[in-house]
Amino acid sequence: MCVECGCGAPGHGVGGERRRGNVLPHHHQDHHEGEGHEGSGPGAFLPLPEEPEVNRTIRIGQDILEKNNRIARDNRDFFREHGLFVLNLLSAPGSGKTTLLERTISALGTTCPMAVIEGDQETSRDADRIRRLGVQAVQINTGAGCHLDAHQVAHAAGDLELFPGTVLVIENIGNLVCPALFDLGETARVVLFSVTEGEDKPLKYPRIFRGADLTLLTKSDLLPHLDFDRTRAESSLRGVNPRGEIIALSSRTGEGFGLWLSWLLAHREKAGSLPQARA
Amino acid sequence: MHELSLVMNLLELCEAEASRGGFDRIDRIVLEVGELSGVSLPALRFSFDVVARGSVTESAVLEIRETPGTGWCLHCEETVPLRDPLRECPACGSPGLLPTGGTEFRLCELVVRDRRTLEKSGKGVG
Repeated sequence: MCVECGCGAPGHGVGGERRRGNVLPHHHQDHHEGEGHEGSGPGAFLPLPEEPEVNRTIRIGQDILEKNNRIARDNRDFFREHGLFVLNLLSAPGSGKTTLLERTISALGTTCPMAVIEGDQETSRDADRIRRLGVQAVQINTGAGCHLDAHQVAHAAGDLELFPGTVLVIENIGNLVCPALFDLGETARVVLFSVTEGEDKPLKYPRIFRGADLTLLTKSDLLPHLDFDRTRAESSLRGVNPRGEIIALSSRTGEGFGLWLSWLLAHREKAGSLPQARA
Repeated sequence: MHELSLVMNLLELCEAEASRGGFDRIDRIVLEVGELSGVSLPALRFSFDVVARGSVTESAVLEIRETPGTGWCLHCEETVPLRDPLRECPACGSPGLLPTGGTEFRLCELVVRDRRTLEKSGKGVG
């Protein structure tokens, strides 16, 4: 599905070879030799330049994230055309993204096909956990990278067998800062916020919470043991994202899971990703 | 540190322009960075210094034009200045403004240096 990103030659800037091709010295040497240049022995470097250097301004006006955004648009078109409902799952490390996925996969069983793209700096541990449940998973290791981008997702999605009606979940790198900026082409963004993180998390990392279609308040089974003030947490969230939905749940006890599954299935239906041809 | 990725994208744009325009050196890169774009300027400059080496951008000066943030107040139903995504509406004090301006991160222009002789030969490139 990666049509025009030039990934056959990653990192090879189009201007690279031309730039290093010593075009200018050659050009000058030819020029001067033709005029019987004085004062320089054979093979000596000629003084630069008699040709005046010219400064000019090129107006561009292009969004620097345009490349990512363009691939994200292609991804979105691809997902829509193939009847997929795609979630970008974001949170700090350790908020329970993979555990949420495990429980969701078990709860949905065969009623809803799922596939997962796992993003981590290193290891395939998360993808292994998902595969153990019989669900396809591709692991992306970003190494030094702090977020997934649309290009990586395009390739990972190409490695999966995806059928209409599949819920494809992209588990982003655990990071509340950088992933917020990179559109992956997802249908919806879900941000996890665990009750052990402090009620003011959304105020400290507003960008990521502002973009959430749904925020899941996870590990709610721990609430009796904590001083976490749920009302304050929800008002912090409302402050940065007045329109997003909020569901509190526990992947351990299953509390609140009914609401989450209903949200997931309703939005999957709304996205028109149910198989069209059913007898 | 997503600024590093952003600078790599910027560099790709510059290299593509250099190839298209047939120039080999960029003196100045003018960026527009919105107040609400989520881009840290010190991190951006730091990343640029690292990435620009050994490239067409090596000796370029990074000029950053900051654009002010604005937001839509759901209560006042108008656009108001917004310095920070968390600020309340300066007019009515209600929270949760929707950012409408100052979110851009854009390459505006390049001041490039080339030679007259190259201008002609460069036209056919790209």
